[in-house]
Amino acid sequence: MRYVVLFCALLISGCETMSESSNLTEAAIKQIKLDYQRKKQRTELKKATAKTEAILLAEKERDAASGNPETWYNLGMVYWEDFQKTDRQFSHDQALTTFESLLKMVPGNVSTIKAIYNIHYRDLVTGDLDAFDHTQNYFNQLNKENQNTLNPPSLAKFIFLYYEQRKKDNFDYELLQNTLLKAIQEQPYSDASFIQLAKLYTNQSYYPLAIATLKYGAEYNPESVDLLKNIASTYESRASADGCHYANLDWINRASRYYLQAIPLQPQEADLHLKLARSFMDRDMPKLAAYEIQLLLEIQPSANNYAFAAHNFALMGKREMASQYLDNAKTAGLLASDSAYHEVYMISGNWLKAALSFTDYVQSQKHLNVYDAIKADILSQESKINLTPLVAKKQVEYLNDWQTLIHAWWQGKMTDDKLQLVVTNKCEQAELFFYSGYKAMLAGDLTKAKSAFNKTIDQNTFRFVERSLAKRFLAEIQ
Amino acid sequence: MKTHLISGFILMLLSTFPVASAFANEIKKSDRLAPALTKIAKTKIDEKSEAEVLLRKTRVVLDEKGFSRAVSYVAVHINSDEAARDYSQISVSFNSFYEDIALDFANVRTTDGKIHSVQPDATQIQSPSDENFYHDQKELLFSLPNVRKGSVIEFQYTYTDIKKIMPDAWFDSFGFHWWEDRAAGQGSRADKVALSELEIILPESLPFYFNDASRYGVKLKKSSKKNQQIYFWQVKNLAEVKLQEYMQRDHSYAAYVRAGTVKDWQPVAVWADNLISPHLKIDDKMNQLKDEINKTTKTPEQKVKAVYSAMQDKIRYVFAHVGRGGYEPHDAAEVLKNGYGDCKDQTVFAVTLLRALGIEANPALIATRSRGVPDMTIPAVTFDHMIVHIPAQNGLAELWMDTTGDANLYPGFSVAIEDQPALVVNQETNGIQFLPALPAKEHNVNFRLVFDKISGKNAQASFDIQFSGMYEQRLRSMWQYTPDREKYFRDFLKNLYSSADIIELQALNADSLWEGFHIKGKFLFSNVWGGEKEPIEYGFNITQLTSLFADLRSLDKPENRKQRFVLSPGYSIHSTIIFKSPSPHYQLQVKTQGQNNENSFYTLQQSGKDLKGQYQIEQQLELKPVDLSIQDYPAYYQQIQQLLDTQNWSVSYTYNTGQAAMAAVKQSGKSETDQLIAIIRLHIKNGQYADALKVAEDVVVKSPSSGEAYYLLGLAQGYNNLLDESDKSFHKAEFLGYDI
Repeated sequence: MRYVVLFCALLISGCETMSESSNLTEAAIKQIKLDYQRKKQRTELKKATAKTEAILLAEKERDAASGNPETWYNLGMVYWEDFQKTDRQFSHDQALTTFESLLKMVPGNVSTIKAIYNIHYRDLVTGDLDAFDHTQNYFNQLNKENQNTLNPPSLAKFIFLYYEQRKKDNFDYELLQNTLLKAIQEQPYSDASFIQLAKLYTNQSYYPLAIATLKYGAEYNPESVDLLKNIASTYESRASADGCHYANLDWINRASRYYLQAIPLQPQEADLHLKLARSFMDRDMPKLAAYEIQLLLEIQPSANNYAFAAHNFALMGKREMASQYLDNAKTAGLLASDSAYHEVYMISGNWLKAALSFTDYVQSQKHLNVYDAIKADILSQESKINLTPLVAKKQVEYLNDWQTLIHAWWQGKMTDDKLQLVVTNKCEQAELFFYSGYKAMLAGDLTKAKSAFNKTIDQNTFRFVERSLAKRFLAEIQ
Repeated sequence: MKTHLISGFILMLLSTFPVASAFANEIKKSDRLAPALTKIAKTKIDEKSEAEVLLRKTRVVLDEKGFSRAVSYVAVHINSDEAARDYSQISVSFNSFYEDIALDFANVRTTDGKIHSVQPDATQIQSPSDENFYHDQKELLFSLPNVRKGSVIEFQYTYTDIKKIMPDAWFDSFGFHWWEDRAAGQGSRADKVALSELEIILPESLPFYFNDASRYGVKLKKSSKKNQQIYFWQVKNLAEVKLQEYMQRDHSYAAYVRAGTVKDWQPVAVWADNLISPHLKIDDKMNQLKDEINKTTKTPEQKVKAVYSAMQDKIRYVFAHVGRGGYEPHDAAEVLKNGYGDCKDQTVFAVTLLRALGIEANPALIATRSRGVPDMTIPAVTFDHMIVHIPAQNGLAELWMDTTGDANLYPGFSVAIEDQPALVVNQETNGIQFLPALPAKEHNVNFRLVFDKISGKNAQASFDIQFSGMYEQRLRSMWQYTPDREKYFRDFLKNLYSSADIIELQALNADSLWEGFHIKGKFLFSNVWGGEKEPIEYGFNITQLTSLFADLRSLDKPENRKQRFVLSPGYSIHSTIIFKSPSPHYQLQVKTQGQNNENSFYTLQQSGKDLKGQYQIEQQLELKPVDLSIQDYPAYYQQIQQLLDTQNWSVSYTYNTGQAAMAAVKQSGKSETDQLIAIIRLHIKNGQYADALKVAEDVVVKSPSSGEAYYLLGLAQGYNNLLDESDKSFHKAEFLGYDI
């Protein structure tokens, strides 16, 4: 019943934070059960009990050889497949009854037990709390070797609880964590339990615990690409925790190591190459990054990947390649409003094109961020196209205090010294140095500008547009 | 007189002084009671039935003294080969002490219209073979010629009373069906009846009592003529009666009339008392016995037990009635002298001795379960056994004592007499009493099984089975009377686990009067365990016991049930099963559990308990006595099927690698910190997060510079939901140089 496992995998992959309630109140449990019953009734009312041709054929085969367990198994699977397609309660119930009858014929048969298990697993995930006992019952009938091929019962319970709590936007982390810990005990070879538990910790900013959990999972599943990816991404999240991962390059370094471990296990996964390339760029390893980008494009030559390539080659100073890849992105369907266009053109010094593509970008946005506002001014200045009226129609959104302050400073509402006092990390420093340098350059104070641009470069924020621009402007004024 | 009771069992007849019948000198053949066979043969038949009684007609004529002459006519259409086999030989039983029988005629009309009569050499009177019983019961046996499918058979016989059971009293039962024994002793049949009639003619001076048979569709016509009262019952189109297991004990499943000239039970009790009392004579030997008992006993209960014990020691049970009529006992002293006696002899002896010991006691006539529950509304001598009734008195609760069983558990109260009608024999008795019905808990199997030895690849389990009530009687009897009983019991018990051998078997208390029968032994299960570190699987289902001690799989399907369903008595099965772990390094996994079920027919309670190193299952099944109509039976059947489908207990012990690893770590000889760190990792792996935390907290105190210790502390804290503390511990680990 691989597709049930996959269903669950889909359900939980890429999920944001989930939380848990180990001790749902009685009222809550009652409500959940009531909701499930109502949902079941609605499904029953909607769906008919007619038998499809496939069902009729399978029944005929079963009736002709009712002593042959395989005909029963086949019938059960046909019903199950019908339920998966149509959501008919009738088919669900018939599948279950058929497999249960089969199990009486062949007690202990692993395939049958797994089939019944997967039905109850699915029921549990979709809200039938009573199915939990059934999942445990059938799970326990299997030996360890067979249990290890299934997702554990508590993982299904976790999935259900998470979605219930998400609906109410009220997460009980402790419950969800405890449920996942039980899932790990039931079946430690399921990497999903470790990954979801780590995500819970990550979302609460307990990065070391998340990483330790993933590594603990990797002891059981050393060849789990998902675990290795998640270890790497958790390192990256940890690096970015205080807002500037360049201040924690050591974590980026560790992330790279795990991407490198994951790639041989799944060399055709494009995302691994993308993330590894990015981490190489962050660590000022452009040649390695270029190699990974090439691999990325061989595996998945999508618009976004071409845009990524264009951006990074622009950062490397390879204008022609950047331009070529941007064209490829366009051909592959990259929207004209994508930010990649104006950023690549900016980094490459093609101000007119940058300004024009920036216009497309702005028009597609509901709101702008502070960097968009600053870019607008720079582009207006460099391209001689006045973009101010365009930008003035849009509201600027600030995601943190720094953005508010730097915009205020950019607009002359704050002094340099005052802003300098509130700088907390390299990233903010790099931004301040660059924008100060640019202002100085416009004011004709080239000495100040050079100093500021050098300091920008020294911050080693390798993928920042500001750093590339600082290099460009420095070259122009030297 | 042949009993016309539906069951056709032996009717034990009592007699005081045999009174000769007015008919005694007139034992001659009677005139034909029915129309000509050619006319009867034209009766329209049901083609689907295997056989059909075309006419059953009985005429009974009583004289002033209550002597009767009864003529019975039967005509049957044979419509199948099986019926032809069954009806080829007819047997009519009678008691030669009280009555005589004559075959008036017996003919067969074949399909070609010819009539063939029974040959003289095909008729005989014989005694039924029963080596334990010497009695006056006989059979008139005759074989009919040319009985084939399509034939019509007819026969007529006449009973004539030659002696009376009770003076001036007459009683009898008449069924409207004809009960024919099946060939090769395969039970009996009561086919469909087109027309059945009963006529009883008696002087007007005689009182006459009878039951109401109208519920069977029987019509009654009363008339009188020349100082005779005439009662005529008639019924048409009676359905066949199919006998099935678990039928009601009363005889109401077939139409009958029970009639007599005695109004109530007191005359019967008085007559029996007058018959028995003269034999309650004590002599010197009995006095000696009485004195011996008095010396060694103090309380009334002890005295009663001593009498019971004396019966077992000194009096063998032998049934000997030839030439005596059936119910006149020997003198008590004679019984002791002979050293044997039947039920009434033993009762007389016991009652005499008890009374001599100052215990109030009376004989009691009883109809045992083999007779069902006769209709006791019309007094009759309808009993087949005699036991002792001890009424409640100082120091004694009421007791019914049956001494006839060979080394049966005191006081011999068996399922054969439980809830059966009895008549206490004394001058004051004026009604029937029913003996107590024991609750289901008292008919009990208590099964204990302990898997107590695992050695090599084999496992042994000791069993201990205790019984009470009908199980005690049945199993004790099986042990006492089965040839090669050890083999029999081994084969019997092997049904619990067909793959196991019984390597020990011990039966206890098989002859004890005071302690219940008890079996102990051992099973050996070969090649059930792979050895050290391999898992061991155990299983048990309550149906293993019901297969052995109940009969639930052979119940009729609802569509096949034609009779009421009666389970009586109820019974119970209790089990305790203990599964042991091969070693302390094994962990328990309960894979499946037996379910509970409570409904109006039975209760099943099951529970399991982890007793550290062993897992104990308790099961309590109680099947309640039920009496169900055909309409209510399907619900019962369904519930029983659920019981038979009940889930197994499936328990396994698997080697706890974590625990073993823990033990290995402790014995590894590594430094204390390394050991503790390994232990923390094992605890986390085993999900013992609280234990992991405790050890981790301990380790960081002992080794404050160990980054790894802080790392594991962080993990343990995290899994105990101490997330902030966990974060701090991880930071400390990093600070100490541990690479997270």
